[in-house]
Amino acid sequence: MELLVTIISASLISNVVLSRFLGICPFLGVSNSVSTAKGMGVAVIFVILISTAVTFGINNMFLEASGIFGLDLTYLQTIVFILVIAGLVQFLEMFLKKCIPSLYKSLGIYLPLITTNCAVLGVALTVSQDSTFSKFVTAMAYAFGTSAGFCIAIILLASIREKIENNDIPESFKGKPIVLVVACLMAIAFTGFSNLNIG
Amino acid sequence: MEDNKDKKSRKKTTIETKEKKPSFWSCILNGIINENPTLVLMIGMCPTLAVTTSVSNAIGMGLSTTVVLISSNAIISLIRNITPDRVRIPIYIVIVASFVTLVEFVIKAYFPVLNEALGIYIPLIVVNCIILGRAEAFAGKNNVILSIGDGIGMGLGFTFGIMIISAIREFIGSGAILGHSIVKEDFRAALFVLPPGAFLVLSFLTAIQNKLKLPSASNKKEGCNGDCLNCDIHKNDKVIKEEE
Amino acid sequence: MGIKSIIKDTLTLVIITVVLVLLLSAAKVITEPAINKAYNETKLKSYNEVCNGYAEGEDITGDVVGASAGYRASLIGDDSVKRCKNASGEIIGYIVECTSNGYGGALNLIVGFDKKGNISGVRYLNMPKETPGLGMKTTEKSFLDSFIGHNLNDLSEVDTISGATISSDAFKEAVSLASMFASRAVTMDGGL
Repeated sequence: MELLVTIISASLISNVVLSRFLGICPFLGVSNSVSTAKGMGVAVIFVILISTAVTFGINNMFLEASGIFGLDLTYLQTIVFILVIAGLVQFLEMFLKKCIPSLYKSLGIYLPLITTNCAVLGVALTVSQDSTFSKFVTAMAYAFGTSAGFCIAIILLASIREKIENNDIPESFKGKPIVLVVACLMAIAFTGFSNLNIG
Repeated sequence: MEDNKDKKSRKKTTIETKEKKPSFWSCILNGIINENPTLVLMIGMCPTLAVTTSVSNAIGMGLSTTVVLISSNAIISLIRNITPDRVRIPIYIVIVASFVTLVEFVIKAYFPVLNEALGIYIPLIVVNCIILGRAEAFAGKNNVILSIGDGIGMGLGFTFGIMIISAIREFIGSGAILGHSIVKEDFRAALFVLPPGAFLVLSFLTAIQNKLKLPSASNKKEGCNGDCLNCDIHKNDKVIKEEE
Repeated sequence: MGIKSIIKDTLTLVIITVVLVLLLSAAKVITEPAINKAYNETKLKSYNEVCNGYAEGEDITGDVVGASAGYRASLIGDDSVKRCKNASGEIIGYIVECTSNGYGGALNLIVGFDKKGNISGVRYLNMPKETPGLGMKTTEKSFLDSFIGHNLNDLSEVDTISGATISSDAFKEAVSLASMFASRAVTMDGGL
């Protein structure tokens, strides 16, 4: 039950893009069509889940004072996590290319874009700094919720963009501005979720 | 193949910049005006939207980013000749992450209030597209002085950009200028300090730029498609073509 | 690309990383005292806000801690319940630091009580990462101050924030846990 609350709150109530503003670049950049948005969304879920599992382990085993070095190395979190994420994405790309070409075909081109998606590093840092997520299961539930939230938001935005493509938009609002207006309305809609009573 | 293509395009940009003969000052001005990262290139959008609820937060974030940008640009430019091409991106990332951690220490020690307000967005400076983008597009190819100039310009350009957005949001949303309330509570539109307001303000700013035919990523090219590492604006055509 | 160049590339990366990590560790050692000082000053300031006249605290966690089953909140550390004294050494109240899960992560609170176990102030130990907006209403001063004067028995009378059910429920959970510990401390000290 608690895990469900974590997932729902991370994906809908405090949506990673629409209320915490992480991963805005791909959200605005790769949402021209639903199919690319889907690819990006799934790739992000994939990477966030794996990277959170790995960084969670590294944090508990090496960086925390209770780890094998017996030193509080948590100040190295940023540098270690970003390196791990960059390496992991590279490795995943090679692994998929060799072993699961079909999956590589659909996710491959999005993988390199994910290293600098701040949602990935954001989740890794939140999980290791917040006492709420000190258990592996809750951490993974949070990671899944957050990335699913990203996926939902980017697919919704892409569907709306496809719908309004041929609409009569004022000249100066064509391009980025109308996308931002759409994002604004989506963010307003998502604040409605904060009234969910799921405790 | 890929490497060759990359090298070619890198060489080309170097020649281009040589023709323009950039000076220290022109690099600074370029960042603040011609290629303002927030208002023209529209990169580094996460902090732009997230921390602009008040001008003081925006200044804090802008200056921290500037410090990181200047120092990482300087170091990356210093070691550009001993940096192996294939591992340059991880090296850039390590350098940027170290400076971010350093800035985090300083903020925690001397500006605890700012630390409280910016929270997780301080370590996330690492993945701010502007920094890695400039490392790849500028500091890895130019000398130290120019790179520092570019860092100052881009950093200040970013700071000014988010200051403008935060000033609008703070004034309409909490009726205040630099923390001093001047508008009665009944006349404030709280929406503007909430997340939706960030999108709305940015949207209208870009729309005004379009109307006045000012340069912005919106009326030229479609930004950098979320590819922050290759967020060199000159490369964009190539990236878009590849995706098609 | 030969094996040699791969080794060379990797070595360069490793050397740069090691040098930077060493520099960072040095910086950490230099700034640590200042960071701790800043942290303690902020803490002392919030202590004074929730318990007016706070000069020193005496850890009494071990004496009052016991069954807290049924609460979804918990104490932050092993020294989270303090008996507060003013500058002249008189007992002026109690401070409890506790944590509870909101939806964006932990809500870490400092709750101050007077000698009789009534709440004299509530502050955040550090700002929560709740959704800016409705969830953030739990950080507004009017909400924090609405708890003043209440105690364990009439805490349910405090209004929650409509539209931010999870956050304000989590908040109340933490405050009521704190009140429970405070009322034990009061009984122990023979107050009331």
